[in-house]
Amino acid sequence: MDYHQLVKDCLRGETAAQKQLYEHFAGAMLGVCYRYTKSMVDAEDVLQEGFIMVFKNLHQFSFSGELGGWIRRIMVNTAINYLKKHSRYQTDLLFTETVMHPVSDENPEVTMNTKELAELIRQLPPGYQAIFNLHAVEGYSHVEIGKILGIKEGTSRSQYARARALLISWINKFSAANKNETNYARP
Amino acid sequence: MHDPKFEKEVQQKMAELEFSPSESVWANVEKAMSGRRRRGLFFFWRFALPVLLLMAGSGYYYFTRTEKHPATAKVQPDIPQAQQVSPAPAANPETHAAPAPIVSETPTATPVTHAATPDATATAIASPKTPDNTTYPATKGSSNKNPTLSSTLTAAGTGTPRTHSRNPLAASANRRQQATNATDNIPAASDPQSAAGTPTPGVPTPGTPTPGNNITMTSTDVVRQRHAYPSLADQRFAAAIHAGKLKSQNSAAAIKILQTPRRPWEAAFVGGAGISSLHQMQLSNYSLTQYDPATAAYNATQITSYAATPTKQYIATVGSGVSFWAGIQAQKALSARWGFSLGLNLHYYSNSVHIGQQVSSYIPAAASLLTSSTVAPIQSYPYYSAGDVQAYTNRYYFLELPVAIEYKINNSKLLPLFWDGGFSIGYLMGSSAVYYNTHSGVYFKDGGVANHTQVNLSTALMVGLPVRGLRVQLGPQIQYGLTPLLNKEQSGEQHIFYGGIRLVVFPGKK
Repeated sequence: MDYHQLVKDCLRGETAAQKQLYEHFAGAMLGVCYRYTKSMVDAEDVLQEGFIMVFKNLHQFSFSGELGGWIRRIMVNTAINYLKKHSRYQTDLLFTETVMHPVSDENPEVTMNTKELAELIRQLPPGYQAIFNLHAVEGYSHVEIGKILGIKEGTSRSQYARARALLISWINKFSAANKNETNYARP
Repeated sequence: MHDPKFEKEVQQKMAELEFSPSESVWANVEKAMSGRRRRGLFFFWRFALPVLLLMAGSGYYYFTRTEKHPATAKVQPDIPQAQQVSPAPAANPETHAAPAPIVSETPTATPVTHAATPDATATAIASPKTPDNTTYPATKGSSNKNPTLSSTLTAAGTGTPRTHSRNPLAASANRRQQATNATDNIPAASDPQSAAGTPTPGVPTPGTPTPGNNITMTSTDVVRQRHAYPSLADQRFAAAIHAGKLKSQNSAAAIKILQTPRRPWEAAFVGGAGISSLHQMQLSNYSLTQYDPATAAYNATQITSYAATPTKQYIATVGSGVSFWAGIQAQKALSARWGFSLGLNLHYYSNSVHIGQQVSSYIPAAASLLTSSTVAPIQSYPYYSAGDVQAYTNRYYFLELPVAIEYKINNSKLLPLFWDGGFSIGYLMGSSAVYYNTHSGVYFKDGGVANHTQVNLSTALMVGLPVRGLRVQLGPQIQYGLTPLLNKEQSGEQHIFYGGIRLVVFPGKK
């Protein structure tokens, strides 16, 4: 797809081009939004706000990088702001823990499929969920996460370690349950 | 250091995560984008149009005022209708013929028409002859290049009823021509037949109109004069008397105009400084819950594990802040005491709130490791917790269009007092304010929650100060916003209040 021309058409206000851009990225971006929220309704709200931001700031896109990465970045920022603005996420985003918690070296094999893993991530408390997504999936450093969420770097590290440990334990349980079911199924 | 194998595996899996959004998402995005375009146009016309109208009105006034000449624009309405030369009835040929002998010095029994003898009247008017029959060029006022004047003169000579145009220029030219006409017929001193040196007993001297005389000079009167003064010299002298009376009348009209007070629009520089604050109304929790679509959508999903807990309804005390403004004003006196003014101001308001720590900040362009080379800087919404950690100054920049009336309370020339009252329409040009969300209990920056259009009531009491070369008015002023600053669903009704000193400076003395 010729993103250059598509972006130019969008900047001219052509609705057809905007819809084409939306349809091209909406599916993947809804996946991003889904990982940060607790419901599909909230995820779609974030997606909607995010795309409005995309079209509003499209003139800032410099074509020096991937359009998909730029849009993904906006979606992540919109999702974080959404969490901050809504009370149901807010209470879990007020981090107070400052005790360092080391990240375990455990690297379990992720045997589950994409949607199952996404569901497990979404079961994390919002604070853990946001930090895990930002660090493990988006690749933000803890310093950057600290700036984004307004917390200390150490707090981010600690929260991530706990989130990671919790998720790995769930993955292990899930894998064990699956294995048992498989063994049970085989006489 | 731990091996990020797990993270890489999660990244790969999450990169494949896709869902199909519902149709309503695109519909809402499209609606928001089209609404944004429409809103831009709406704001343009709502604010650009009044400014354009104001400028157009000012321009019209300015140019019409400079084009008007007192002799043409003001004398005309003050001259009584009877004084103007009445159109003579067509059935009376003698009436039409009467002026002709006076002008052309060639009395004839038959009516002289322009078509037959153009030189007899028009030439005499346009190029008056001296006693030695030397024709001088036509005067500026009687130039035949002026079509209005030409038609008027032609009508006078052809015997058709003389049409008095409502055009002040044409009317003025007509009157000037009448005066020239009459003046040209004042007997010259060298004229052997002239009786100017030896006026007829009982006949007043030209230029000294008899008090109480009716100066109305219709064609019928001219005929009567002809009968009263059968000789040509007497008729000339009577015409001179009429010219004198006409001049006298014009002078009287001019004096009357000078005595009538002119009340033009005046431009002034206005400004002020003081303090501003927010007047808070009572919060309504019920309505807030009802109007929060996100909360409603969340409750609809029946997810209980992260159900919203009742949040503390807390709003910090809003302190006052510095406020100042400046602009221009056009004022017109409606009477000796009342005046009306329009203006255009830029007004800065501020207030202070005590808030907690900032928990959101600017995200640098290179923040993302995944998309470090692709992203552009994006400003996340600044966000502050409730608390008393810091004092934050909310700033608002408004463009205001005030409309006011002014009343002069006393007649003192030393220290006149003025009361000023009116309203203004303001548009929020920019703001750095943080707004309180009663659901999440946080302060955040979001320009969308403010009502960008504000209607304010304002009143001031001012005293006129004797400053050399200027007219200065100075006094206290208060202003109150009738429109809530914020949308109701975001917080309680907050109205902007301003109190300060108002200064009006009129360049030049009245």
